[in-house]
Amino acid sequence: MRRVSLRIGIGSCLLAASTALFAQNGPVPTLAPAAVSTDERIANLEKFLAQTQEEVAALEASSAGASEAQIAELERKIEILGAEIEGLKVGEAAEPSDVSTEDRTDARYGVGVAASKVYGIKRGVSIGGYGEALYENPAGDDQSGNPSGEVDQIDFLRAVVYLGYKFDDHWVLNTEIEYEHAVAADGADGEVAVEFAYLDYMKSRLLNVRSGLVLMPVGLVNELHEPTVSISARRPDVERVILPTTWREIGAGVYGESGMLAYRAYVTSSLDAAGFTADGGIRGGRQEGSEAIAQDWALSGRLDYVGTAGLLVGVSVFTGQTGQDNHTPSGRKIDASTTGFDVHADWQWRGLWLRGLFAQTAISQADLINEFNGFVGDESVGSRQNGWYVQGAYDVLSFSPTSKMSLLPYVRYEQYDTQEEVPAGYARNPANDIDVLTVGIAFKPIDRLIFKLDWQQRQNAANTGVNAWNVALGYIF
Amino acid sequence: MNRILAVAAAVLAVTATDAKVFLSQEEALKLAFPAATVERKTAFLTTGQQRAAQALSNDEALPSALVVYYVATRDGRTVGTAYFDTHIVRTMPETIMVVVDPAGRAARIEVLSFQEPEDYLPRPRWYGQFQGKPLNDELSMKRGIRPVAGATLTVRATTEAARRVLALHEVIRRAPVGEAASP
Repeated sequence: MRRVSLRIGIGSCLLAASTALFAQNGPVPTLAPAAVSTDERIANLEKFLAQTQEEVAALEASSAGASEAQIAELERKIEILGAEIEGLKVGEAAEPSDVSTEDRTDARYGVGVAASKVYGIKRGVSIGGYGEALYENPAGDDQSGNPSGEVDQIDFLRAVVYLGYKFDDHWVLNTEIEYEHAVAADGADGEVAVEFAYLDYMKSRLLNVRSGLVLMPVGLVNELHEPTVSISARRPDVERVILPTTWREIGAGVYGESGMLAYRAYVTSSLDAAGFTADGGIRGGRQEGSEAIAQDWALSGRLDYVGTAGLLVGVSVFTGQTGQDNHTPSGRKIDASTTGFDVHADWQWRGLWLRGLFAQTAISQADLINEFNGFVGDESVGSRQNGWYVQGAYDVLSFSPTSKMSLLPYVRYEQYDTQEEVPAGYARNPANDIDVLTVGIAFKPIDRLIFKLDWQQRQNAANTGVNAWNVALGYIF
Repeated sequence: MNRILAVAAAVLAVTATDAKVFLSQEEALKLAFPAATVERKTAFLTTGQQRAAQALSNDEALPSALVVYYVATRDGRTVGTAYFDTHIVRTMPETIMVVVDPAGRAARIEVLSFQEPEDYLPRPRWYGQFQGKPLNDELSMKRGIRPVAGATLTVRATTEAARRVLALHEVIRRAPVGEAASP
């Protein structure tokens, strides 16, 4: 109680000093104390302190100056004010954690440093977000020269709000609310979705617990899908189809790191094989935490080497049955065990940025899924699906190290096939054997804004691929 | 499923013990300067010194005229100087300690508090790359400081804070005792 009273007293003194400054010298004298922010108080206290120090210097220089005792007293007060301003600036970290009140008092020249706790409540809410818009200009003809039939489109792909709340040093809530395609209404393509909403219990770097609607810990894009991190106008196809970003499920798990390794491991709701398709792979099987069928559960995890700054190398895995208690028309229960993995690397060195990924998914009982969905011929779900890509970019403005702008020409090549293998009795569709070359340039006027222009050569084994120009803008805050 | 729940319960039991994630100022100073005498000092910069520091750091904002720093000595010799810098990462503040060695190079960075989600916090090993870096063009995300995918804003804020501290240290070091430093 004594500690609290002491803080309130100190805070009152500082408030009074700050308010007095406003009354005498402040830039906005009409401001009421309640409207004065901590930053403004600090600025005014600093000004007051500087003036006082000048007065002390003048007194010291004056032959008819004050007595040594008076000067010493003024200097002592300056030190106290300096300590208080430092405490306000640094905030809670200024508070000694393991010393008694008496010790603290001694250490702070007779007054504590915790005035910040009088002025400011513990700030627990964090707000952020991102958004991106995309213009797509597909070619009029496909790779065989036939009319593509595709039309230009411009879309505000995503507007996202992050809301976080830090309950204390251990418990944190983190959420992402997403609006897709601008309008979510009857007859519109848009939707509103909770992309993630999880609670973290943070114990240590080694071991922490996460539970809720979590992003699956796979690949390079799924967990880090903000437009400024994904450099091209469109995310890599491999990380949209083979690894179906943004992929989230409800569950719980642990994460942390030790030495040069970082890990995450979750138990979550599984995919629903009823949504698997020939061209979309497992993407349609995501349940997204929306009244998800929980007959089958899945394990997922990743392990990354993080021992070298700028380098990330790792693997991830997902495995679980995905039948969700469905039965074929002939009465056979579908287990549809699905196991996927990826190997990934990301390396940033000076202005150079390289990344690459290989992913593969194997699905058992794809024939039963086909029977369940009525798929025949080349409509079969792939019993094995895989894809890979490599990407390189270079910030040509890295020659100006103090520039906040970045200009990154980039190139990416990817290849994937959602029907690498199909069950006996079914056929592969060559249109699903796809390769994409992307060449473009991204401009970041500041870290949090990005403008992208790229050209994609899209080819498939059926010769029906359609090239496209893409223009995008993105922001994070 | 029961097995999974049992494992989850065991993990929660293991993690239920208390733990401290961040450091207080005092803890950070003890960590940086074991068995050293640490003296708190205050510098009052002139406008010219503020501008000089801004030019050295290439910061957008003029630094505060009041600079508090901690000088550590051992056996009568200065072993380092610590500065605390609080800045905004995305929307929330972070406080770090930057230790400067006697030659004016960054020696160590410790995170004291971080209000953003910890997903945006680089790993401790990442901060090690600042060790021995002087204030020059290499102290930049585009040159000698390797970024972290997904934590760009924190990396940027930390690098700018390191530049700011080294610039302030240089300006204070240049000033005659009694002009910029407190008694």
